Amino acid sequence: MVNRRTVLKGLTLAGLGAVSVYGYMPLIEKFALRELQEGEQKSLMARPAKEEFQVKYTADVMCPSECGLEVWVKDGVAHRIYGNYACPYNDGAICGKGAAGLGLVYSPYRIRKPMIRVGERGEGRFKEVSWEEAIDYIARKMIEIKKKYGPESVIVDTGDVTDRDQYWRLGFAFGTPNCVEHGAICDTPRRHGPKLMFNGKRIEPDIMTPRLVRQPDGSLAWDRTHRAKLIIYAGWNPFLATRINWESRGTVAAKVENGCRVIVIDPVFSNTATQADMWVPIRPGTLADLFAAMLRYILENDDPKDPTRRYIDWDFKKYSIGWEDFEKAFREWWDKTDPINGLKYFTLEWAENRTDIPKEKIKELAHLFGITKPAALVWGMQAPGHHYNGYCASILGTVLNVITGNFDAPGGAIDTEIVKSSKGGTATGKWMLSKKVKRVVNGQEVEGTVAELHMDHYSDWPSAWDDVVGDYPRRFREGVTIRYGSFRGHKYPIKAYILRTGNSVITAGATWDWIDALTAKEGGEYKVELVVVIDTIFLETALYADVLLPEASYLERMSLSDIYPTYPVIFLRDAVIEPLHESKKPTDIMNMLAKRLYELGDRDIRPEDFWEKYKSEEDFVNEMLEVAPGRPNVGQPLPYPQYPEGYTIIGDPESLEKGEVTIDHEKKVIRGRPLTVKWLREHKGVAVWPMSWYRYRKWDEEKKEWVPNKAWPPTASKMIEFVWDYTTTDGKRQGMYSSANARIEKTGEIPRGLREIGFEKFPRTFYWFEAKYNPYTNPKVAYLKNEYPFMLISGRVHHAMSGTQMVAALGQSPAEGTWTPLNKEVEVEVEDFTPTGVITRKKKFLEGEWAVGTVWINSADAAKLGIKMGDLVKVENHLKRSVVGRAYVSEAIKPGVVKIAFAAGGRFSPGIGPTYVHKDYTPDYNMLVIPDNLTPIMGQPAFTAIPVKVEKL
Amino acid sequence: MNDMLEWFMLRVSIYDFLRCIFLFGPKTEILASLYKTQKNPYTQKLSEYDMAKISILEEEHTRIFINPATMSAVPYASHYLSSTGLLMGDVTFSLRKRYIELGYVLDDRTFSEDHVGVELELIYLLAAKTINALNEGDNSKLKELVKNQRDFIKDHMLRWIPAFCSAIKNNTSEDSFYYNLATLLESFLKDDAARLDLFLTKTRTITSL
Repeated sequence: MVNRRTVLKGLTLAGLGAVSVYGYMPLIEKFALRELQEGEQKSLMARPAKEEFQVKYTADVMCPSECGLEVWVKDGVAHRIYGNYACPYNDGAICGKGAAGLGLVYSPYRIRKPMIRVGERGEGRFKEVSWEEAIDYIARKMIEIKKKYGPESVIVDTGDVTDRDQYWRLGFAFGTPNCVEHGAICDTPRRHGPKLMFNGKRIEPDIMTPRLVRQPDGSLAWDRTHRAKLIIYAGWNPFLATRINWESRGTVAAKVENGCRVIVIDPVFSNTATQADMWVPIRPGTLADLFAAMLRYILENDDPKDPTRRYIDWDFKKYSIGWEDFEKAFREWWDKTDPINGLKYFTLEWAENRTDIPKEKIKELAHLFGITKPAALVWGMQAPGHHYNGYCASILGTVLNVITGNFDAPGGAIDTEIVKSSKGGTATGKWMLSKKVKRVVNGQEVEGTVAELHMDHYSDWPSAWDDVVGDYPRRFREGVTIRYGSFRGHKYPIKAYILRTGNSVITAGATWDWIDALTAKEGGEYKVELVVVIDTIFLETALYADVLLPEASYLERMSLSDIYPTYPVIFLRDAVIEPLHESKKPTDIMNMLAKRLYELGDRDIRPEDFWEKYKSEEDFVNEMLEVAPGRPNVGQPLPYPQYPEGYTIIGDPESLEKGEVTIDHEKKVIRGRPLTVKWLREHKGVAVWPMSWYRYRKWDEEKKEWVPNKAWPPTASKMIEFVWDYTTTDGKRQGMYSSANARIEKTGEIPRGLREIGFEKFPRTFYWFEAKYNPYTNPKVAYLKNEYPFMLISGRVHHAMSGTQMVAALGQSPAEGTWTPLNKEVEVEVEDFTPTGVITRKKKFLEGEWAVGTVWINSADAAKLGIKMGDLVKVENHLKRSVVGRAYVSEAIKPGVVKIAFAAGGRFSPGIGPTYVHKDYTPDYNMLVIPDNLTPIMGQPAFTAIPVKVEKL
Repeated sequence: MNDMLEWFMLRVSIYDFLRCIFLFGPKTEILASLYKTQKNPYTQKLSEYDMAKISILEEEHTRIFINPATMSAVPYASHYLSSTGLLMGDVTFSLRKRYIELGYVLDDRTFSEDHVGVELELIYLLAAKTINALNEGDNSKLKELVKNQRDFIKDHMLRWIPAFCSAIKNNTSEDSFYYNLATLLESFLKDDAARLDLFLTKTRTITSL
């Protein structure tokens, strides 16, 4: 603070009548500047003009790859971003987007201050307020809603997966189980097979290098060997979409160093296809059909005695349960005739008819995959992750990897979810879900747990392990009816939507449906009474917020990154600079809101769970680290031969290596010193534990053979499970679907998704159902192809994702046929730099100078419709919803298919940067998503494979 | 009392008003000061504004300077003077150094050195010290202070403030508060630079004021 007297002295002692004339004193006794004390100036000036850069280690959030970074900081400002060589995840490499992060962090278009809405939702009119005012507003409204409807009426949606734990903790403590994340709208169908069979999520090829591996002499060494011989990427475009750093590097390296063949199955000649040995264009929405035919071919043609047909590694039966049941259920379809084509299910001819891939090619794919070892079959996020029946594809793909002996084999297919380090632990607050609460249901008071109030698990989507964000517009309108558990019959409305990062309006389903639901009114008031957006950048959903809170950017907050490695690696997202403007860290926002709720009388919030416990974000992250790596000591070579096999490993790599551990033989836990932020900082931000393979088996010295280790995978049986609802020999009901089925049986309530596909409960093993809106596979909608002859697909452009388009330089880099320099000439106000100063003036950007979201269409189709490159076209679905965009005409997309990148166009938040300028002639993909096309098992919207028509405007 | 003395006094209150309105937004006590300020051509129009409409001004302030969806005038020098348009670059650093040379350091980190309000605050603080130097009859101190202010305004602020003010004016109506505020800011800075220039070239001692 400037000494007030310093200022006043000049005025009052002036002898010029200053005070009496002007009545003057500082208007507000608050100063941004402070006068330097004696000597201070000298010491500040004496600092070397070029102070050394300080290198700090952290993790990216510009995209879900979350690469390890080193940030060069000087005087508290980040100047450069490079890859962190100590982090094997990206091995020192980062992409242009990672390097461009400063464009976001230092953008003047960040949310800088808390704001409260003054106009209607959607108008984007706000008033700057203090943090205290904003938090008070939210807390009062939350308490009002809690009193009136119950805490479960509040949804906490951490749109992004990253750094969400603080918000969940607050939500759980407040009493709502409805705390969700981005995963619900990401790729749940894609993850389903791994989830059912090994409680996993994502199968990726074993090409992440370097790996830390135990050597025969007991030492640890970095292994950079590529062993993969074949990778099939089906509907997966790692070079452009979700760009797992090591997968992009590793695919090319495996090709060059090990002669690995790469096959890409995709309706478009994608960036990844450009590096493939074979591109197989496929009809959208039919990956399950292809995989089914591959499995049938392999089962029918496998011959253990013929080395040219030894497809199946029958050892898999030793490590799994239920194969016979699965195979039987699968074979039961073989004699059935498909009504849409009159062919027998899963035959090559059948698959040819559905996928539009020649049957010889399907046979070649099945044969190649069966015979080449090690290999990995990898399927994607958009396909089948966004297909209505992507579950079937995911299950079949998982089975193909397992029976061919590629699962967790060196160079084979690894489920990254169940091998990475654990994190979060008690910090996330999930333990609060078991708290007992009471509700009055049908006039009677009943008691149950907070968890039993969950709007999905105990209502319409009992197997939605990742929640169902895509169904929110309906829930906002209709509310929630609890159908299972203690509170069966309990109804509640959704009254508050707290969104932290993410952009639901653009990404979580049909844009128009979301807008409609967020702006719907009842008695003059908004039905959803409170909408809060907490973010660093101002995206479309922010336009519908009542309160906006500025969150510290990823360089200004602390958390952990552990995305998709093939073995336990965790790295620190360190706060390398102080939060800019008035933004706050998640821990501080959590504490501030918790405290205000407490002050206003909410006794579900306990000081000892929040501000008394977490004095800093480091306290919080240390608790998150307490469970790391939390994986069993399994596989070959055994990560820790000095410790008992199968025991869970916890602790920092150093203490585990030095033997500074305690071993709990009862719980089978080996505990070193807990990993901490301090330890990570002392080790370039990264903790790495050894990798092993075949983590499901161990050597039996007596039998002289490999046997299941019964410690991994983390299923109920600790085996690979081909059945998902079964009873053990000691009478226990187990399997991933068992608890949901028990609920269904008890109540007779069939979940809406299952009802839609004619199931009475979740199937025990293999199942098959058709996509709701695919006219080429589902006879019920075959008529659609007459009027809507194109299949619309989506895909992500890595550098033009929902939020980071605000870094204009990234947006200008073209990609495939969906993000191309087909901009209209625009005149925008820009600053021009002249020798005499800055002049603001309108400047023209000519056509072809800026990449924008486009509509990719095949040349032959375009010719038939009279469409030329750059023409404005309309794409319309059967609900008569339409978008317009400029056509990108090329041979590199299958005829009959149009592709629009996800979140690339129609971006109507002026805060998004230059993309906004082109909003009127670039397509918002999700305007075409069909709201009732929710995938039936877990409720994620079927974002892709939508029948549409295209016309020239 | 002569013109220059009047000017020295006036600029203290005007810079204080300007720093406050940009740092803290439209608050009653800030707007009320306009009535008390010595009659002058700069604040005349603003003082006619209906104080009852302060909530409109609050929304306008957010719309023009804060809300990323509507912000028409980025209130940071870096945005105008750096090749990237980003904050916290070389522009901010050279300012940080300059502030230290002038005896100040940024205390409130929710702003940065190149925020319009902070730059105006610097001039305000120096303007107040100028009165002090006048008071104490410290000629060399006075000259040094005036020179520092003139240089800061001329070779830094006037390089970007006109563009900033145009950005405000382009998105407000001519009779609006913020349009007139932009006019005040730009014209006062230019006139002040000219006055200080004149002072430095013509005036030799305090007694000759």
